Amino acid sequence: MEASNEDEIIGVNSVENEESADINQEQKPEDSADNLNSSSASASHDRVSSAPRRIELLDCNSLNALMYHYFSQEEYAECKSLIGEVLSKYAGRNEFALNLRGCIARIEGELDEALDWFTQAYEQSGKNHRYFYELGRVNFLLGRHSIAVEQLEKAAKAMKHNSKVIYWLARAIYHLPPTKIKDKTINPVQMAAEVLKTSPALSSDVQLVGFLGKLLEELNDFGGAVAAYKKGIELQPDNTEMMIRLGLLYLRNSNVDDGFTMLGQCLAYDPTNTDAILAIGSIMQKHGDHDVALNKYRVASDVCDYNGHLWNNIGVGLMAREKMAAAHSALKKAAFINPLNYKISYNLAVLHDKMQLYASALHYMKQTVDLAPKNAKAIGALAVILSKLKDAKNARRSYQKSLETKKTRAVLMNFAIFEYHQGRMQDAWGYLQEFKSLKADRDEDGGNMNSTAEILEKVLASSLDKS
Amino acid sequence: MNESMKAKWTAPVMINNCEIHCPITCVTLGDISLDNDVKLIVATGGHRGLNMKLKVFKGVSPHSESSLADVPTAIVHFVNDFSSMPSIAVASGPALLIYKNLKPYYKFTVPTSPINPVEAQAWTAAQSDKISIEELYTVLNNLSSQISISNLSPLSQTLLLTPEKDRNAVVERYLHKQMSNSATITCVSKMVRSSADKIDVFLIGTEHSMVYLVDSQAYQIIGCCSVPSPPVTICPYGNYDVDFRLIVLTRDSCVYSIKRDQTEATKPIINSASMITSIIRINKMVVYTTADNTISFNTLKGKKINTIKCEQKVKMLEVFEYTQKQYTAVLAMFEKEVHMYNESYLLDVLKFDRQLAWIKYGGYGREEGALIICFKDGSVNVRMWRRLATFDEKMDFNPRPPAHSIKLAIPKKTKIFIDSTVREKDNAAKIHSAYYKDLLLLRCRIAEVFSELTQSASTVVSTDSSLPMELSADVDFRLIVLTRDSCVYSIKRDQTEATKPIINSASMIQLSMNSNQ
Repeated sequence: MEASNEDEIIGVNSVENEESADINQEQKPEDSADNLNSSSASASHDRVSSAPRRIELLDCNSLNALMYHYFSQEEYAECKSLIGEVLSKYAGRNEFALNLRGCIARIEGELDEALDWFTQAYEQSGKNHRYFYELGRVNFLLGRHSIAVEQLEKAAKAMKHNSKVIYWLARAIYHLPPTKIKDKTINPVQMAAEVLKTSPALSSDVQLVGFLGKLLEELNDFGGAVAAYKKGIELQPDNTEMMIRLGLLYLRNSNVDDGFTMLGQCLAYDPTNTDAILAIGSIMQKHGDHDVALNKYRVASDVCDYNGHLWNNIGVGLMAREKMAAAHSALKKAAFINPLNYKISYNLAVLHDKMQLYASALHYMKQTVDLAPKNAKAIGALAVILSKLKDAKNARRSYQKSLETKKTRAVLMNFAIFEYHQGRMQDAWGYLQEFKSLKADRDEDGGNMNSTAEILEKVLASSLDKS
Repeated sequence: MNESMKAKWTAPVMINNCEIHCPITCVTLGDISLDNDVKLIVATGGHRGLNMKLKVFKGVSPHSESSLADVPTAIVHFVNDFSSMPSIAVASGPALLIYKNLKPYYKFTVPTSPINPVEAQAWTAAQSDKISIEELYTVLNNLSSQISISNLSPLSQTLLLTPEKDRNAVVERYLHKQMSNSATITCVSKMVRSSADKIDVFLIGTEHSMVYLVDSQAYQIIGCCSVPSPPVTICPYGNYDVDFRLIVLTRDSCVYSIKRDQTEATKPIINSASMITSIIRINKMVVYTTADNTISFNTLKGKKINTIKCEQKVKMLEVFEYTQKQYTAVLAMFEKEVHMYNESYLLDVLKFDRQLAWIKYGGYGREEGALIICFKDGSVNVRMWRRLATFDEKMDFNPRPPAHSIKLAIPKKTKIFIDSTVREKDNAAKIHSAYYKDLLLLRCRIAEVFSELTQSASTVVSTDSSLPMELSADVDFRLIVLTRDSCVYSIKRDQTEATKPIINSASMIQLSMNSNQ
């Protein structure tokens, strides 16, 4: 019985086994079925009767489908154990199993392991250059960009029609250091853009188009970037990410109308898209429409509460509506999430100043200056708060520091008023003249300051005449 | 979810004495004994190779079972003859094993793919004793390092993987047989031959990237088409005699559409950047889900109709069809939920307390519209679609409350904050000057102590760069409160009363305004 059992197992996988006509049909369906399969009935068989050893025809691909199934279901533990079995059964020679194992390792963040598995798969595949794609991607993740570029270039030659290879190649090139070739400096961004532009898949693949747009943005090719994003939207009319990027690009180039339209279109597809809400809200706030902006932010804060910029904008909106305590809470929350963002602490300082809490205002303005030491406006504001705290010495030093950093009309004006209050008419007169010599910026509220300047000039002139 | 939504399905009924662990490909519903009673058929034990069985469940209890000889990849229930019983086809290895009444009946093997010329030549030479077994082995081994071992025929693979002492036996056994290179089956499904007589045609995908159409009566190949990568799922549309499309998902996440008489598919209709994990065809739509948690609805030509962004991983999709009311929808299975979608709305949500393994929708017993739910722990539930259930109630894909109903969650201010605000308003300049005076004193004191320390105890400061001083800080919540009488109290977490001031004169003032206590 023992021997006959073993007979039954012989050739389970094979096509050619037909020597087991005598076995129990109940248990061995495929053998009986085999008798009907005429294609394999011709060969003669000579049985090695002396050694009734179990000889199974092996096919190392037999479990690939199951492995792939577990992989696609993200059941990695199950998949790994199955791969382990397969690899031990077939002496580690199943390239598909090795490849999948590498993919799992990469997903799990074990990059060195992944590299090892993919290298093994590459060896087993008879040096198939397709694996350079996987290897290149792992090296890219490991930050070894020059190796990644080499490997991905090989992969791109092996897989000419795969746009994903081109995408990763471009990304790897993008991260290369700028000076690579001895004679001339080559801009890696330019190089990556060239690679993308020469790819035949560019006209059909959104991923490539989107990345090209990003590169062109960095190269300050406004028109090119807009065209790329437009193409991306044309390929995928519901691609909200493209819309946001195009919208922000318009905004950066002060094309507010188109930017607003694009962001609005994005919100039409996805009303809870926080990026778009934030951008469109900031446009509204710029135009003083704080109520509508706050309404929009309600949705955004519901979806994504942990966002410093969002709470900053909410805080500014509330401040504009004179809800000081609420604005304070919102800005504090923003500062808690993004402690290193100087704009938030600047807003907090302004808020405290408005609430006449000058000591706290000073604290936050100092923080702002610490975070952004080159910001003349913040230093100027610091001086104003110091003067309100009756710390004339430090206030004057701040004004001077601010003017050293950058001369701005507002600070000069404040300094002149400050010196007038301090009784230094001559200095005040000097700063006022300097103020008048500077041209007004585009987006500055010039009228108010000019009228103040006129009044101050009159007062100063009369007091200087007296002395 | 409100009550009316819940009522779409009947309460679950559990199948007794059953524990099923198998992938969804090894599950099918069908009648096996001509009594119009649809049963649940599963092929289990696929993974470990132990206790491999074909099990049949009828109603709420196991019905019958039969053992399997090899690991099943997929099973399909089909009809090839009206007079006799319906059959079950179990794909395992390169063969399709046909069972009638749970008895083995026939074995169909996929036709052989072309054998590598060098490999074939080597075997022919060995047959005519031109080369020895060792030489044959060497030739094959060299070949396997040039092209992958996976691309050799099973026989050559066996020889290469056999230990040296057994090689003679292998060669002797197989040398004089016809060589074949049949690929392992990766997926199998069926398509009706014509709408008049519902006889099925098999659709078989193989590891060698081929799709075969096989007649289920005579087991003849009636069509084949190559795709660039091994197929994962084949979804048919139409019927064989009139016209059909095969929607084929491959392992590199491309979807191809194969027409009648097409022998090679090169241009994918869908090329997804993210991995496609499950695909179904419903009416004239192809619906697939990707690894980045989206469900996409597409036309049969691959044009996108709509996309759902889900919050969790979509495990699998299943077709829902209720012919009595002409309802069709997509059932999407998540970790512990099943959602029902059509191309523009979310129609139903089912929640479970355990992890799901797979779901299968179809007729069961004599009823139409049963949902078989298998959990990770192996238990199986059956729920029926209520006859009165409708799709009248529709929800957005990711239901969100409207903007006006959401309130901004702005933290409230405490009384301490108000008090300290009032105090600061009145004494801002004083606080400022006191703060700076004390800051200066503090700095002065630190400098003094530091210089003292560096002179007296050198061990405090590490002079050796290889042995840096270790510093550790313990952070705890502490509230510093300055009262009107210039005492500073330090209040720890959970402390309810502060009696002893830590500093009597205001030497260091820190206003804690963010405290919500």
